[in-house]
Amino acid sequence: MIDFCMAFHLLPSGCCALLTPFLWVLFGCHGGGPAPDTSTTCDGANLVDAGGATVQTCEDDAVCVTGTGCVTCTPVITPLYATSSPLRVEPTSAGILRSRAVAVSLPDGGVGGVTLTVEGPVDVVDANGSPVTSLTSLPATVYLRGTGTGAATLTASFDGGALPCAQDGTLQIQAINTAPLVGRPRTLAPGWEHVESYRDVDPVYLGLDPVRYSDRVGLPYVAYVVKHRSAEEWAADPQLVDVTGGAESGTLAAGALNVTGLWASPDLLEDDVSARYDVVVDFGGDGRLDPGDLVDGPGEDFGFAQVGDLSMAGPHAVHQVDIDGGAWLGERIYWPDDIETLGPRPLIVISHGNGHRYTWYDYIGQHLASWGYVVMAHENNTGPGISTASKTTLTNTDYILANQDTIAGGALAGLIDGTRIAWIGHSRGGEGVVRAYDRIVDGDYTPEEFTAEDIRVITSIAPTVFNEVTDSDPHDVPYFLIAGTADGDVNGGVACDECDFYRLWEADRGPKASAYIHGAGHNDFNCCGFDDATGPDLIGRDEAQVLAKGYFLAMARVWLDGDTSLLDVFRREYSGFTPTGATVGDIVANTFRDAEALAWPVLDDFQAEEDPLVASSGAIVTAGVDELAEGKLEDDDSVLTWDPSDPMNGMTHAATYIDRGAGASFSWVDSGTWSLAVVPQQADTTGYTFLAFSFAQLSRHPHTVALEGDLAFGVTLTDADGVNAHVDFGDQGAAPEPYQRTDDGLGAGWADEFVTVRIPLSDFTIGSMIDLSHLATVQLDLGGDHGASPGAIGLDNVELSR
Amino acid sequence: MILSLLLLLPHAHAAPPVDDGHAVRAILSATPFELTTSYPYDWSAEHPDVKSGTLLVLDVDPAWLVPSDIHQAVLFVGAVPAERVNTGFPDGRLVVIVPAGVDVARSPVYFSGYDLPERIDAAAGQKALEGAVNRGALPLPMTLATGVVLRDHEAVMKAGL
Repeated sequence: MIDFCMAFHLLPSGCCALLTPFLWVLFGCHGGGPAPDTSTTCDGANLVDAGGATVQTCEDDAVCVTGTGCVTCTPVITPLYATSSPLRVEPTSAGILRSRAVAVSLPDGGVGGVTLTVEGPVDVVDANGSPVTSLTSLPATVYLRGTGTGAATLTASFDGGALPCAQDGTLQIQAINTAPLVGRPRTLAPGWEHVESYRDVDPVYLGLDPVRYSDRVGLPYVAYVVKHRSAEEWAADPQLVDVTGGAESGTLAAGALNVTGLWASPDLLEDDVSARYDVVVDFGGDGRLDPGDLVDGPGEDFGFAQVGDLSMAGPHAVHQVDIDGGAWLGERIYWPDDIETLGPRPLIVISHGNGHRYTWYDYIGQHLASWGYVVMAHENNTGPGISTASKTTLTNTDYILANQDTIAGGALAGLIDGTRIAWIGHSRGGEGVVRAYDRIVDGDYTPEEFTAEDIRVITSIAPTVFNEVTDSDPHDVPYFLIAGTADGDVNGGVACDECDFYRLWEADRGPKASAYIHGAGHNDFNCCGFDDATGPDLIGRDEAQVLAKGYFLAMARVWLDGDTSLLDVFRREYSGFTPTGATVGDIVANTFRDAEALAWPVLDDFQAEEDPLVASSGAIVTAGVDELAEGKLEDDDSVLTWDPSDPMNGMTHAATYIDRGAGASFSWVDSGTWSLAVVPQQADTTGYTFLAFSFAQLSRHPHTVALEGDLAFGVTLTDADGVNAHVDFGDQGAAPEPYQRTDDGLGAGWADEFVTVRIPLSDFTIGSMIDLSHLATVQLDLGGDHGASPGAIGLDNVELSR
Repeated sequence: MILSLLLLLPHAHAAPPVDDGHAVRAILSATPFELTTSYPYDWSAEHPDVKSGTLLVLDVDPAWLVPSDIHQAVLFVGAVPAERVNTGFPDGRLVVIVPAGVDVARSPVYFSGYDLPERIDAAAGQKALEGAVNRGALPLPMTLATGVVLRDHEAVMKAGL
């Protein structure tokens, strides 16, 4: 354990003090005075005899006690001093006292009897994590750990017993949000980005902020990267075992963010595509995880993940068979050869599109089976429409689950986990799988072998939207949409409502993600459909499938296996987290949104208020921009030729009055601002991790045409005291120039390509004393020194998340 | 040939093409069938039970058969959408099932607009027929083959292929 006691200092009063990096606690080291004399009384600080003559004057900390004389109270606990005020305490991971707890040592003051009380989101606990409310003997060490965020006060009280020595000492504490320790240097403000995931080819950096950790400036440390451990594993073994080939030593310097390379060439994936690590900054230098160390990862979370090439085949050989169960029950099934050693594995079902065949998706089946999944592609009755397609998805899923004992001679008997199912559908099949889920949830169809809860995730590849989204309703299932901008069939364009697949994405209320791939056609996502790709810079079937395989594997790992280390594949913008196996120059627009049921604070999703100067949260919006408009994300005239009277030009997230997608649009020439005054009930952001928003360049807008490139901008947060913090996110992600496809009007540029930017709130605290518990404004800084100009964008879902 | 056919692929924004009566060039064969086990007809909104019908092999202009998830014109025989057994692309040999109740010999075979057959009810089918007749669609010459008795839906589909 780290003991923060650094030195004892004798004080003039004769008491001694314990100096820690965090606080001094004063205790009297001696009591006493003259022997009791019942003939004397106290007159203030003077002991007087029966005649009124002063016998003794009590000095310094001594007090006069009738019948006793001068007494130095023990202990003296007023005041409690902290070298950093308020003392900063972070939340502790559940079950791990050793993580981020701050030790407070109370030395031997001669007597005990100290009561400890805390007001605020901080616990005082002992080494076992049990609450401590009093200390009956000294010396003692207690630990402070955050239980939330906000101000807290620790009060140490001594009632004095029979003597007039009652006194309180207080210590001001600020429980702060946990900040990640690892990230990467950036060229733009604030010069650093916290990240959770690295590609396996990228170096890992440690970033220690001397502003945040001002109480540690000047202290030496050793930084370790260790394999991720659970809370129980850390409790059992706090030894630090570095995996990088050598822990990094340093001393926290004042000034700017201290950036240290931790791992230059990560290469420990072994037969896997991701690995999780914890980072420990050992301030005690004892090679153990102790209270007072800075940690990133122990417990349910991890410090960072390393992500490999998700398009590479996995470690398992794949077995494949075709079966015929009758009308519309033809299936091709893939599974890992060694599935018996793996135990029951999740099932991934592929429902093809119209005019396609179930035998056209070997690239998905082989890939996912090589990573340990059972994959089944089936005949899909797409000709009549979506309802029939949904039925064949349902019946084929039932069929494989019901017949696993006999399929392939029983090779899969008991080895398909029917409680973990993913549906992947292409085109009409992509809508069909959503319709199938909707039918179960709405009670229109009851499968025999599974329930709606067993459908863990749905993926639609360039789906149609024939039905209203109330009939093809993904409800709250995790949903992933993938499509190509060069699709020549379900083209995603403004002139075809049934092609506007983002309407399904908008309809989903669960966690959802999308990937819109430049230059990919409709049939690039199967083996054998004709080449429909339309537009410039076509990437071809092979490259489209490299990207798709990566996304599908991440989808399966995240939502079927609960492996959150691959969430960044969806949550981060493509240009800021390009897959290792992708060709340099590929362009993909990623969006991500957490489940609505999580009820993260939405600053403005443009759903509830039509006035562009009033946010859906009720916040007042101030806009120093041109052409500000708010409404459904729907191209009004179904033509892409720019027309100022159609401010949602190119938008495809809504088509009918039932669709939910709504947003804002605006433009600027040289610079501009869009600012939201945060309502009081949303001002405390300390419980959240990211500021997120989605935006897209307005297709064929004259400013978009003039810019002819990617677009990003900056964000300034201001707290109630006027303290600012700024992030320019341009090198984390940007909205790509709209795909330069023609048709549907004059000019070039296709449907909207929203990207979601999630800026870690902790990035705003780098070098800034901004108080994120009292956020006042969120401002988008457009153009000027912060990004591209001129520009024209659509904006949506400005919100906080974790 | 494929390339030239692809050039005919309708753009998403294009209005549905109009069948002037020449899209379906000939009925190559017509085979009546009866089923031992009926099946629900998914190619119309009413989903009638199919116990018998006619299996047709058509010679169709392939431009009407380019596979699409959006732009697939509905093929009617009379006022009823026909059930497609294959795509017919690119050779133009399209196999369809026509449920009983349709007088195949006296009904025009034609394409109507883009839609999903499962959404087409009897009224919509009648409207499509009237439109086709107004455009000059006529019944095609045909000869009925000897009828066959088949087990079920799957059997008739396989017979067509």
